Amino acid sequence: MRIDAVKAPLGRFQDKWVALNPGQDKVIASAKTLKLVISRAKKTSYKKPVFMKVLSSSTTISPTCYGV
Amino acid sequence: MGFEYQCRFRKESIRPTLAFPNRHSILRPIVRLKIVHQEASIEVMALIDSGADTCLFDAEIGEAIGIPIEEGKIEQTKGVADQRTDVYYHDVEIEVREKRWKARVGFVRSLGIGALAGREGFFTKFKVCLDQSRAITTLTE
Repeated sequence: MRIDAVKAPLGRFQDKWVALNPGQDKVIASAKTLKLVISRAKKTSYKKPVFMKVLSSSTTISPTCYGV
Repeated sequence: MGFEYQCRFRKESIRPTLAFPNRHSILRPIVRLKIVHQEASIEVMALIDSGADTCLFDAEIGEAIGIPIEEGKIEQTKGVADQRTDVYYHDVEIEVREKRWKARVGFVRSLGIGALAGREGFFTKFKVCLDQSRAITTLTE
């Protein structure tokens, strides 16, 4: 069975949106906003990028949510 | 054989803290999913979060596929640190590999995390196994 994984190194993109190539091993565009990274990704030759928000290395997360 | 899909946890850098002085990285379960709205779609990496009641996405993701965020059904959501946030819910389709299903998902201004695959809309679709020791997520239907 194939196991999907994000292989691209993302350390220098903290707190940014990135566009990954379909193989998820290369960052093809990055920006502070998703809108901008989509625009930049469209200028590359990759047709179906995958988008991801890269988290900061200075905080952990505890995103439990419930309606109030 | 039914649907089965595996993806590796992502190893992310984390600064050592007073609480965890020897920790330099952390493994997080993420999944590649497609959000579909009418004819538009976008593929994102989402953090799998069994603690989140619903699937939540940054509003920018919805806007990218033409969803009028503030026209959604609003609900206030609270996190563990008691922070409250307005969430706007819309009906979309979610796809993982060849599996596609309808789900009501929330959009949040400045979510910070980007995308969360929570219980309603994601865990309701699959049996989700988060194997921290092997750093592998397995989805089965």
